[in-house]
Amino acid sequence: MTPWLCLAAVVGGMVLGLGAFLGDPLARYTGALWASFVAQAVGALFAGAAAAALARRPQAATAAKPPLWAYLGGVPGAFTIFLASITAQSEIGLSGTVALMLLGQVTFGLATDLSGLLSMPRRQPTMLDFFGVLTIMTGSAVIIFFAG
Amino acid sequence: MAFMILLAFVNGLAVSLSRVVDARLALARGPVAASAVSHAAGFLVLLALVAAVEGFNSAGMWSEVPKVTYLSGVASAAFVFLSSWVIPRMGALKSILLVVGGQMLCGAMIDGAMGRVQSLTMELLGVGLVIAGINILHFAARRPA
Repeated sequence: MTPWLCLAAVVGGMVLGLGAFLGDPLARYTGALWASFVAQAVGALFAGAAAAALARRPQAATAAKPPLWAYLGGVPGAFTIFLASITAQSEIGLSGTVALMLLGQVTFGLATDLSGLLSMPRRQPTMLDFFGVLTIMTGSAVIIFFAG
Repeated sequence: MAFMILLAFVNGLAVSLSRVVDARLALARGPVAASAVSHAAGFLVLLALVAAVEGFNSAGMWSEVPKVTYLSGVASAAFVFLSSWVIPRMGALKSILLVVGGQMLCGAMIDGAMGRVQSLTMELLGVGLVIAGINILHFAARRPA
């Protein structure tokens, strides 16, 4: 299972990077807000169609009723591109924006694992986990600040 | 300056918040339905934001927009399937870092293909570190805790 989970996460990141590349012209023609609006609309239609197609088959994942807040994941996500476009145009620039957002993502991920917030299982990262995390962050910082 | 630093950092927190909440819904309803709900909620928020900030008669350039760009929404939906499946099983920190790693590798490949790389040495060093980090996390995840 573990190799598949790792592969799925890395491929997910690549899909996200590809999506950003594909969405870039839209943002340049119409602005960040319209571009996010269109991406969310297309994403909702696509995922909705996929969910409807899968719903006819008996699904394993119908456990306990989720809490109401679990339906609101798209709300903080809706502001991502809009806010990033604001900070990227400020004096911190695109590199600073990407690096600080990376730091924010890692901070929240660590807080989630340590505290088990949002009813996620509590996990204590190992030294090896931290080593891997720092290696990826260092590599990302090198790419963000010195390569592009 | 300080405000922009804080805003970018909080934006990063919100990115992970969004993914963890989506993952919580996926535990109950499955990752595909979670992605649909997440995008529907994001769509409603952006509908209000576009109306408030841009106004709906601001759409002048649409005919010039290349159609392939709309596929960014499909990528976004596919991403939420994957991340909502992985996060509850592997933990938020490792999942998020592996996603960042994939994003960086994809960005580096695109920049390479578009001829936008300023320093090939630094690009290769960064890519090497990211690949090494992904392998360390994979190795760490395989070992029983």
